[in-house]
Amino acid sequence: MVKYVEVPVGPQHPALHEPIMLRVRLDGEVVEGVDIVTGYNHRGVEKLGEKNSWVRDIYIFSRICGICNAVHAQTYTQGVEKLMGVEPPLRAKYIRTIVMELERIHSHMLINAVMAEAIGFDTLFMLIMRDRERVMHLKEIVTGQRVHADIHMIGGVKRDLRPETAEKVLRVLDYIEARLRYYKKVFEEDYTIRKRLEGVGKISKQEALKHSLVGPVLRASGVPSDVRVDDPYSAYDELKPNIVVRHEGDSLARMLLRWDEALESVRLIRDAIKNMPKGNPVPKAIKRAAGKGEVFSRVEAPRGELIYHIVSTGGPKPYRVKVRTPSFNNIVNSGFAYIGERLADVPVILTSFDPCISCTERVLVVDEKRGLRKWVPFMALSRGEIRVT
Amino acid sequence: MDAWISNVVTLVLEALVFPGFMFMMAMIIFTQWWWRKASARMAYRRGPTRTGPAGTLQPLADFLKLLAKEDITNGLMLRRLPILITSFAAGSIITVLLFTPLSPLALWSPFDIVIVLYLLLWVAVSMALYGLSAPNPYTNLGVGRYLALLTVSEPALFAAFLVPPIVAAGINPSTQYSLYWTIMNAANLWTSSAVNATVMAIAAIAGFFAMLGVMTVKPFDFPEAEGEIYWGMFTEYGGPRLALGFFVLFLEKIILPMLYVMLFLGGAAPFSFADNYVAAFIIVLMKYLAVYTLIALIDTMMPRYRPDQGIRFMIKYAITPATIALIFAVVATAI
Repeated sequence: MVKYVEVPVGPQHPALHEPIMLRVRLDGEVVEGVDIVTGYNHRGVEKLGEKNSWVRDIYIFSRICGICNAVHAQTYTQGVEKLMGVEPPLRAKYIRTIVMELERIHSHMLINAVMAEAIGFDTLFMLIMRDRERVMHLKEIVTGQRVHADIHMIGGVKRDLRPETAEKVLRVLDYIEARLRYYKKVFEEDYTIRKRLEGVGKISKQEALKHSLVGPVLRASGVPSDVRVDDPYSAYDELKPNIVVRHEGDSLARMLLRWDEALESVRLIRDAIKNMPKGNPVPKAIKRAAGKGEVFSRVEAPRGELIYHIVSTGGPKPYRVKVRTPSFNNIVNSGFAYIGERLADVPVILTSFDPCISCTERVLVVDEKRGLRKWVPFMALSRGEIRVT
Repeated sequence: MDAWISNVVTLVLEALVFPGFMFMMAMIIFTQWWWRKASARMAYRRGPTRTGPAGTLQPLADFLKLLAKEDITNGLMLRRLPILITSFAAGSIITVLLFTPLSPLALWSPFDIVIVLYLLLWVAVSMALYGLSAPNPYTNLGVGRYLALLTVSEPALFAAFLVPPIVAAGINPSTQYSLYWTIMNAANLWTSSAVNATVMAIAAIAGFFAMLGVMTVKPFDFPEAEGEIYWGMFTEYGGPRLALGFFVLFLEKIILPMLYVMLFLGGAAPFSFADNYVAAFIIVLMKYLAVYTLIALIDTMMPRYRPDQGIRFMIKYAITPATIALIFAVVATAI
C-alpha cells in the first residue's frame, strides 16, 4: 500500500528560476520528506579556472553567478592578491565595496520579488522589479555594465568613480531607500503575505548551526554571523556594517531581514562615497604570475559566506580553485525545514533560502548506503557520463 | 402552433446570438481585454496594445491562436470527454441568461432559480472532469484542491443566491421564486424593510466571497497555482482543448457577476426592463463592469491563500453568513 504521493517540484518548474529537483513526498497536502537533487546545470567552472590565467579567471569566476558576480570576483581577486603580495589602493577598496553593496541591494530586492511571485502576488513582483532596475542602472553607471560588474582587477579596479557619478548614485539612493522602506512595510503589514510566510519553514538557532546554514538564513534564526564584521575585507573595517539579526527563524523573518540588510547597504554606500579617499584606484601594471602557496579567501555574499580556496604551484595559472558558495550549504542541507509543512509552502520555503542553483551544482557523487564516493572527471562529464554504477 | 414555432425559433436565436453565444463571445473579448488592462495598470505595465484599437482584439487573437494550434493528447488521457463535458458546460451556462430579463423573450417558471443553480453547477462538474481526463500528479492535486474549494464555495453561492428570490416572494408572492420576476423586483428587495435590507446585505457579502471562490479568483486560485502545481487542472492541456477550458471559465466570469448584479445590486434600477429595455440593459452592463473591475483588481492586488487557509476563509466569511441570511430570509418570509 502506498503511504504517500511523490510529487516532483522541478527540475523545470514555474516557481524555480533555475533547474533543481525537489522530490516531495506528500501525505495529502502535508510534506513527509524532501529529497534535494542537483546536477542539472553543472558547468565545470573550477576546472576551467585551472586552465586559464590568473587574470582571465577573474571573469570566469565572476560568471559563476549572474546576480552576485562582484562578490565572486572579490573573493577570487583578494585571494590572488594575497598570493601575489599585492595590496590594492584604499580608493579601489571603497569602489569595490560600493559595487558589492549595490549588488546586495538588487539581490535582496530580486528574491523578495520572487517570493511575491511564488505566493501569487504578481503585482508586487512587477513593482519591486521595476525599482530594482534603478539599482541595476546605478551598477551600470559605476561599473560600465548592468549585470556583470567586471570592475575587479588584481591590484585595484578597472575604472575610477567620477564625482558626478557618485552624486547621481546618492540621488538615486534616496529614491531606493524610500522604496525599500515601503516594501518592508508591505511585507510586515500585508495580511495575506504574513499568512503565507509567518511560521512557515521555521529553523531554530540550534538547527541552523547544526546544518551549517549561512547568511540571511542563519541570521534570521538569531545567529549574528557576517563575514563583513567577523573578518573584514575591502573597506568594511572602516565602514563598520551593522549585523542585522532576527530571532523568529521563519520565512517571513528571512525576507524582512533582507529588507533591513538592503537598507543597511544603502547606509554603507552613502558612507563609502562620503569618506572615499583620494588617489588612483586603477593599477598601472598587472602582476600576472604568483608564487607557490595556497590561500583561503571569504566574503559575505548576499546569500551568505562565500569561500574560495586557491592553490598555486607558481606560474601563470592556478593549480586549483575550490569554490564553496552559500547556496550549496543553504539548499542542500535544508531538507529538514520542509517536513510537516504543506505542498503550497514548498516554493515559499525554498525561495526564502534565496536559492542560486548554478552556485549549488557539484559532481561529487556520494552513496551513503554503499559507502561510495566518486568524483566525475571533466572529460567524462563532457561526454555526459554522470552516473555512478 | 405558429406561435409555438415562432417562440422556439426566437429562443434558438437568443441562445446563438443574443444574449447567447455571439454576445458572450463579444463580452469575453471585451472583458478579458479590460481585465488585462486593469491588472497591467496596477503593475505599471501597458497591457495589450497591438491587436485592434487599443489592443481590444488581443484576447480574440489569443483565442484564435490556441484554436489554430495542433491538438496534442497523451496516450493516457480521455480524448472525447473533455470536449463533450466542456461543451455541455458552455451550453448550460449560456442558457442561464435566457432566464433573465436580458433576454427579449425570457423563459420563466415558478421555482426556476433551482434550475438556474443546477445549470451553473455544470461548470464545476465539467472543470473537475476536464482536469481528471488528463492524468498527471499536478492535475490530480489541482482537481483535489478545486473540489475542496467548491465543497465550501458552491453551497455558499447557492445559499446566497437563493436569498433574493425568497425575499422577493415575501414581498410579492407572484414572483414565485423565479429568477426573472426576482430581477424585475430587484430594487424593492433592499427598500421594502430594514430586515430585508439586512438579510440582503449579509447575502450580498457572502455571495461575493463565494463567487470569488467559485471563479477561482485570487486569493482563491490555489487549484491552478502555477508556482506550486504548475497549472493544476490545465497542466496537460494546450491548443484547442485549452481554449475550450478557458472559454467555459471566462463564460463563468461573465454570467456569475451579471447574475450577482441583477440579484443583489438592484438589477436595472433606476430603469426597468419593462419600461425602457435599452436603458436597463446599459445600466446592468455598467454595474456588471464595476463589479468585474473590482474582481479584476482584487485578483491583481492579492497574493494566493494556501488551500487550507482559503477553505477556512470560505467557511468563516461565505458559507456561515450565507446560511444565516438564508435562514433569516425563510423565517422573515414565513412570518
